[in-house]
Amino acid sequence: MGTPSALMLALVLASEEPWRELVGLVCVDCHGGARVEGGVDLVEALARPAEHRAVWERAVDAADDGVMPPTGELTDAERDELAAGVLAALGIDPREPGRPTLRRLSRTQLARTLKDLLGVDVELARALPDDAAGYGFDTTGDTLFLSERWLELYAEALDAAPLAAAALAVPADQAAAAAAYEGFLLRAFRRPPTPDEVRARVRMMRAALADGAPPRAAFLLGIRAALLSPHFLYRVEAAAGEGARDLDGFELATRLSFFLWGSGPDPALLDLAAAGAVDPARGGLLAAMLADPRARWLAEDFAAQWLGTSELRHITPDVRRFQAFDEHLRASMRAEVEAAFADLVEADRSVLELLDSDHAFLNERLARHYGIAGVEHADIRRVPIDDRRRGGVLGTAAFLTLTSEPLRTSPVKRGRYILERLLAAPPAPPPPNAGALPEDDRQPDGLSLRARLERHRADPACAGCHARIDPYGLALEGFDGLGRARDDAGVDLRVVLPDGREVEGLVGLKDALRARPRRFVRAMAEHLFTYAVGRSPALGDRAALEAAVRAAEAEGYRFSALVRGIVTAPAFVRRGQD
Amino acid sequence: MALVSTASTLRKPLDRRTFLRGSGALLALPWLEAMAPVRGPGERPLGFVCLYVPNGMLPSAWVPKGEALSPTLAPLAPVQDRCVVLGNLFHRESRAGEGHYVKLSAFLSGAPVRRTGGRDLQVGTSLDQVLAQRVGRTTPIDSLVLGIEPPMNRVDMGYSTVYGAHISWLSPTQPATRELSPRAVFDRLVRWSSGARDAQRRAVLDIVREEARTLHGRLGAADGHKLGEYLAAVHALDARIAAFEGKRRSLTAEAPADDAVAFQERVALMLELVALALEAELTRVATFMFGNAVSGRDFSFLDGVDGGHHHLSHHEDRPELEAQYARINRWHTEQCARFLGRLARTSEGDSDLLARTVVLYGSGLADGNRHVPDDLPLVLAGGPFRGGRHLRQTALTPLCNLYLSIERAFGLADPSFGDSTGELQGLA
Repeated sequence: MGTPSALMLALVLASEEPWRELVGLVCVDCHGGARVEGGVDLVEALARPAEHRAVWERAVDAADDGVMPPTGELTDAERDELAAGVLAALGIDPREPGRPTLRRLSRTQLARTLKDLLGVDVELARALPDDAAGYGFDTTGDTLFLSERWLELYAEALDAAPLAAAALAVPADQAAAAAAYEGFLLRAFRRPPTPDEVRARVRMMRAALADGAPPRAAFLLGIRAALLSPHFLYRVEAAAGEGARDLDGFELATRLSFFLWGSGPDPALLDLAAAGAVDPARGGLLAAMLADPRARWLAEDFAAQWLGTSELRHITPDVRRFQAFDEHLRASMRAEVEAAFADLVEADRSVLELLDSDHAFLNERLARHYGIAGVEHADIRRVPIDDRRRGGVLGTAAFLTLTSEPLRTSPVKRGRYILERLLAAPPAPPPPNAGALPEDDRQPDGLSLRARLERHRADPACAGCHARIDPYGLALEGFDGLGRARDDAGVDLRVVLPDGREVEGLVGLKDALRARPRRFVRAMAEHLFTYAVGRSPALGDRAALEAAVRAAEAEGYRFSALVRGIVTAPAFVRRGQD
Repeated sequence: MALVSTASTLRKPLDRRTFLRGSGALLALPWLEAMAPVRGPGERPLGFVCLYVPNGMLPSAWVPKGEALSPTLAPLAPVQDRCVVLGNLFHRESRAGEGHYVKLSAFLSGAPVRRTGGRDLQVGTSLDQVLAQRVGRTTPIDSLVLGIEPPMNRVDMGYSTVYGAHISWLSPTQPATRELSPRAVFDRLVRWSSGARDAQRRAVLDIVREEARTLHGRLGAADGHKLGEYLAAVHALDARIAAFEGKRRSLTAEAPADDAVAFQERVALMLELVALALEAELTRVATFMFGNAVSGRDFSFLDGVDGGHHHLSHHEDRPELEAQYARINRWHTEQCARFLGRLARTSEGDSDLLARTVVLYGSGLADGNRHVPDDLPLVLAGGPFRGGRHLRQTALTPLCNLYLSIERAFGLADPSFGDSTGELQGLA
């Protein structure tokens, strides 16, 4: 874009709409007309907002993250005004819930649900392949596939399961069979079954009995037909031709239950659903569900995916360099993060404890790894610490190892992890011919990783993104590839963060992140949202997420407050037109 | 005539430790030459196998000078006369999009790949699945889709890692389900070769199919499309049970031990299972991924290699890193060569299993350091193609031309495949 005509500027800015005035006042000096920093031309985008949707999404994000304007953050009211104006200009209704794609139960949800229904373990981990993920989570319908092969493998796993030992009473006669199927289908389908659904199973049982099958085997056929039904395997919600609508009690109970417990609703929750009394806004229900031991699911499944500890099984530190690494350590690393998150859920603590806390979750193995004395127990327990290099995700061996190469640390990976997972601001991908750092950090030419990265940043093609990525990782160079504190005092840990703040080392980084807690809390809210709703948040969801963050802030960032914001969002309690 | 012993089919590639003797696995009659009518290779069905290597191959060690094998290809020497080393083939569409994901997920289709973190994934139906759907219905298992590494769960470069975990696509929007457990694959081969009958199984499928149909009518377009996966699955499974129950197949092998074995052994097991399935005519189509896109697998088990696969593939033109990368590449070729040797040694009348199996080996990236998808490293082996050659196209040519040629070898008369411009010159 060249210089916009005076007429165009006048058209764009001299408007009744205050958000345009705001953009004109604080943004267009750098992003419009003669100067288009970062290629972002907001004068053009103001003139034709609908054609520049991505630009506006970035602009709202940048304002919310406090990245823009660089001269100082906007107030909450200004950010809301900007977002509301953008939504209106783009014709987006923030009450529109959007649409998650029909979701099959993930393999882990399926295993847990079967266990709850049958009381026995159905071995799925070997029988079925791991589900891939959409938007970072395996609860996204778009990436939960079902094929003939999948169905065959699943059916075989059911066959191999010890159904004979299942907690199912064999009905004495046909009337009892109908009642038994009705009860089972209510739980399996997470709604009352239709008479046809019950009858079909009774008929099949009768036919099998007539063929001479033993009563239990004949009854189990109908159970199999429940567990193979699409009403069990998918979380069915939609109906064709409807506009956006509120979910009914059963649908809502199902969403809550899978989100918080990883399984279908239990009888008590189904009773509530039948009574039309499932209300996520009601404090009691949510508090009870979070206080239930089943809510540990959030630590085992949500946190493991969000914080990446589920990927610890893939890592392969070089055991010649890192002789301390063994399977016990690998398992302990994962358990530490899981325990920290479970404690957050259980005790309803501030989510900021994931950034920094005065305690850590340790067993003897980890304590030895960290050089913390006095921890003798083999199980993971909450241990008070005064060393601020531990406590919080960034001080865990799990994070520090996940973001290392087999032979060295990776400041780039560490920086990227922080941006993607803790700040929800993923960097742009590198260009195709981007180089890589050397395999080993013990290089004959004596150049440190830091020096190499500095050289890399001198290349203008790399500078833009790496100036955002590297500082976070370089501040953590005080930890080796397994997350142990390094002894060599020579490592320079002082960095300048993208927002201009100077910090030193992990402690400085923690302080910097805690000083602007909303960025982290918003990122966590976005990840919770994606996991719970089955799609990534869009511009229309911003108001609900923003409300969740502010409500959490008002309650000391308690975990339950953040979750309440998610489960009361329009996207969670309603469903959009298909 | 003595029965071929069980052990004889467990040829060298498998470590004995990875098998359990007398584990109760089915021991059916092997395919007996003495009892079989004399048939030429043309009378037994042609098969297709793709062995995919992630992270590319170092071009300077891969590309042969003239007809002699290059260092990376040297392990193919024993079966060299059955191999065509291909040069100057590419996928035009893989030039779009950074990194590995596009190149891997579209390797067998040449289709454009939509960049998305989840919603509206799109690639193209892969060659193996086209063959599975068009000719694979004559065997109990339409295709084996095997791998080693489970998918990662993040979004990388704007792509869902679904893309990096699948070379086989049932449709442009649905990857074929992979199997990662050698033991589970073996169990399934046994099941389908046993010919066991279970009428009740079909009665159960009838009920759930009816419920899916009714449900489909109540869903909107997008969810209806998703449920279509289920409808297609239940229909195909039912048809396959109807077609193959009660039909026994010969399968001779012992069950592999559980899956907690080293990577090298898992690879050997998977390749042996492919060979067994082809031999027993349990399937005609198989794909195997040595790893996912950007696999960082530690290859320090190789002498002279110190580090992860992806990391070493970014060799920065430094000789000491290039050497390690090339060593990893050659290890993959060694596995491929062993597999080809296994097929070649499996005699069938006066021919052998390799003569009726088209094997494609290679990667969707040329040089891992640059992510270039031009002049892809590829070897075509077996089947009706004349081997012992280095067939280099004079100008960059669509890899889909090869796929069209392969389709023709299977008797399919499609006018084109992907972005093909004709059959591959010089192949026939």
